[in-house]
Amino acid sequence: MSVPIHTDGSVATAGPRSALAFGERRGAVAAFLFAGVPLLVGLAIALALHLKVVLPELGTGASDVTRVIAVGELLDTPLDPGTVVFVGDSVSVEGIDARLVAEAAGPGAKVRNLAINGGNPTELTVLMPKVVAARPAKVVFTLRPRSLGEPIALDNDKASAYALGGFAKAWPSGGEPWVTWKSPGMSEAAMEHVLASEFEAQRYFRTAVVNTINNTFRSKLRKGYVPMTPSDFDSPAEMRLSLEGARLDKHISALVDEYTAAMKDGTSIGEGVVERLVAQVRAGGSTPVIVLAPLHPQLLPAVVKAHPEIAAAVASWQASLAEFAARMGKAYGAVVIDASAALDESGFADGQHPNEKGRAALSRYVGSRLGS
Amino acid sequence: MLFQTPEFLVLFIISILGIAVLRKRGHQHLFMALLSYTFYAWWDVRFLILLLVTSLVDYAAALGMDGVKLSVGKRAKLSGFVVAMAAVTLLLNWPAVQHSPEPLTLTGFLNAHWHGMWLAMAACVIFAVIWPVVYGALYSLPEERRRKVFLVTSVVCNLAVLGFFKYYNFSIDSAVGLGKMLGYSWHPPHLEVLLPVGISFYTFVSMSYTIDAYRKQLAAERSFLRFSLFVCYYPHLVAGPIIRPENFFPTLHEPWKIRGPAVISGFHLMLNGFVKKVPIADAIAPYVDQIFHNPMGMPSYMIMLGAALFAVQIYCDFSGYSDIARGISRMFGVELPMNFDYPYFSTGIVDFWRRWHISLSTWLRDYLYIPLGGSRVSVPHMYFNLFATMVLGGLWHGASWNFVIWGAYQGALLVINRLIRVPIEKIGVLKAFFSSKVGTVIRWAVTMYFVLLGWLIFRVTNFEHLWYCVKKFVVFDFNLDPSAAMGRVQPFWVLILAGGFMVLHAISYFSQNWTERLNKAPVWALPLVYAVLAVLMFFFWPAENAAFIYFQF
Repeated sequence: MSVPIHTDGSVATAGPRSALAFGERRGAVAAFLFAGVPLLVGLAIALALHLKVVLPELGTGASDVTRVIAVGELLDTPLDPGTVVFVGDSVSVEGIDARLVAEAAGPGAKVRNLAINGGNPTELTVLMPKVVAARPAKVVFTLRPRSLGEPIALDNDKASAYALGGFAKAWPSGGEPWVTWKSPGMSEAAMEHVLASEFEAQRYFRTAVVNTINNTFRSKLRKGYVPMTPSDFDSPAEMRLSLEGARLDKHISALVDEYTAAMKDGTSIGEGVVERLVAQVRAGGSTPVIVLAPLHPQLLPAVVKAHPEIAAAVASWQASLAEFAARMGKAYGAVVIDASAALDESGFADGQHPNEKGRAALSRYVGSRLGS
Repeated sequence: MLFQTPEFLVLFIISILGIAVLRKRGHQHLFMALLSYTFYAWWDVRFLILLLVTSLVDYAAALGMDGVKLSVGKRAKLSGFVVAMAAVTLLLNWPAVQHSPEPLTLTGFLNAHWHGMWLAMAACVIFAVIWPVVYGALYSLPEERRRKVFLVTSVVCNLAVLGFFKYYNFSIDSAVGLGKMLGYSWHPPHLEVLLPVGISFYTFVSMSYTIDAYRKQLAAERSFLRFSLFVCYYPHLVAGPIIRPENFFPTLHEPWKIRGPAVISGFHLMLNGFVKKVPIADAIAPYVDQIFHNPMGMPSYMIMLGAALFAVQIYCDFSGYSDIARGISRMFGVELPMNFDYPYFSTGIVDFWRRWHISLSTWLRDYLYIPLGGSRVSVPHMYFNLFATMVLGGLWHGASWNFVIWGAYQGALLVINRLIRVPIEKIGVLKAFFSSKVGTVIRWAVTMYFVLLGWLIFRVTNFEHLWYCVKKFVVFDFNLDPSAAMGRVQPFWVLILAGGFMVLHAISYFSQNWTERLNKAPVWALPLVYAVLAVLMFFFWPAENAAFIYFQF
């Protein structure tokens, strides 16, 4: 028996052992089962592989995202008494070596670097209650003028990682919600992802295999970077480069655009977000510490050069940051460490991240002032 | 409702079960029309009334042209239906119904959300009162005049709806821009007009029906239900293929049956579509976005890579949608027309348009190019017709100048193609060369170069960026610095994916279509193929479902 391949006409025919002939012989119900059952079996196998092998062995594929989950796991149990934790973004990832900080802070100091690339104040808001619940002695924020600008929106990958890390479970209950989709840097989608169940978040990362393959290839191509170990809470730094000349100018120019866009509406939104974090740390019984991050000496002059019309505003950014930090010191007893001029150009890998030399210098600088 | 979502799976299963259980064709038609309206309402329930109203106008107009007078009672019934549907779609608080985490009270349920609802409701009531009167008045005209007036009414209504929802703000902005250039400043109202999904597709489907009725190529459909189903049938509703009355109405004469071979071959077509859409188009999309979000400063090779990736993305996205739509419909027993025929194997721009979005290009040919005179007019006039048809075809894609430019570019290519074809065919040596294998490869390469350049115009909406991209594409800068790709594209994964697709696509073109290959494959091997594809689809399925590109048109 042979049956037409096209239902609208017999353009070609299929043989008696073909799938079409099977459908002809057995009818529609059998045809659906024939197609549907293997499909469902395949999906079930894939899901099992994903949950039991891929996520536990490979993680989500992107180290920044996997680091969020690793931080969540670390905070599932209380920290050792007296531990100082660093939170923040790539400046802290690259700029803080917890061992050097501990060494400079004095005998017996315990320090952990929980900074996450991209960890702006929005992410810190999601993260902070769980940090505080782990009872650190001090929580160190590394702030730069950009931290007081409009926060960058939380992307769905990171938001799902926060769900997997169980951060929303630690949010304060009662009263005003800790985070809503209207909070700075949040969106309906991001909120949905942060609040997703563990299974939903696991399912979200179904491209983990592909991401891993991709990142492996990519890390081989990228020069000047070493892949981060997500659970490295001492020195998770990735950068091994030092940009110079045109490449440094290009990076600074990109930062200028970012700063200018972020700061165009002033600093009130960012200040509000950070103040809430500082208050949360204090209310949780820990001491907030604000480190004014080192700035590349060329950065602010470059902003002024590119946008002379906002020269006055730029001049006020760093002053605003210092004033804000001082205000936090008064209101919440925060320790303020001004490291904004702690590094010269040779301490930077690019326009804003410390290099190995800068990391050592900054870690010691901060460590030696932690107790003061 | 997107094809790749769980909601759609439920709708699909209900469709199959319904068609299998309901044996009478009238019941099947009602059932499928309800499901199709649900499918459409999933995006924005308010626009359902627009779909119904335009369907009603075209239904009545075709009957009027065909000399079938709707009785006063039937007109009243249809008006009542419109008002009832307007109340359901406009007055209910649908956003709260769909999203509210709180239990809804009856007051809350009825409390409409959209501030313009009363205006829209009033418009529907006015329409429901006026159209039966207008219909009666038009029907009393002498036959030839009546036919013309009904046609004009239908075309004007369709184009007015399309023009308002799709082109209002574009026209206003363009007029303001032109005014500024001429030194005249004015500030017409800028409305927040939402674009109803699929409006360009269903408007064209509906218009082809009334134009065919005017040409006496079909007998007007007596049943509003069957006509509505023709317009709203969900496999084609939001992104085509643009079906023709002669493809669809014959399938309504007999009850639809779910048959084994149709299930299998339809399933293979669907699978083919999902493989194109999910792991390929959706995975490539973020990288194309990264390249074209801000292409300034990129070297030529990145712009070319972006154009090539977009070519794969748009083909897999759109033809994937068409395959899924055709596969679903085939399972129901309705064959939808083919929309793509290996367009990237075209060896000329005319050939490309015979293979790309076939249902649109044939629509434009039959309802625009030929009525303008086609090729039965003087040569310059024919070139003008060709050019104008492509410009309007470009504009059909969206209310943006880059689509107009893209249409003009395609029109210009078609005209040039015709201009150079004549001398080439007259010179024997040239004709023989371009017919040879080497000549064919050259023709293919040249065609693809211009097709890719066209995709740049289609994709890059910022004119400063577009100008930069075109310059870099046309004048290669020989800057092969790999660091330019860093941070923009994660090259290996995307290149492997796009390259792998092109290899498989070429095999499919040169040997045999994959879906036909699957249809012919021995029955024992297929479950394994399905399971492996399911595993691959799971791991390649992007975290976020992306809408089909052509939904925006």
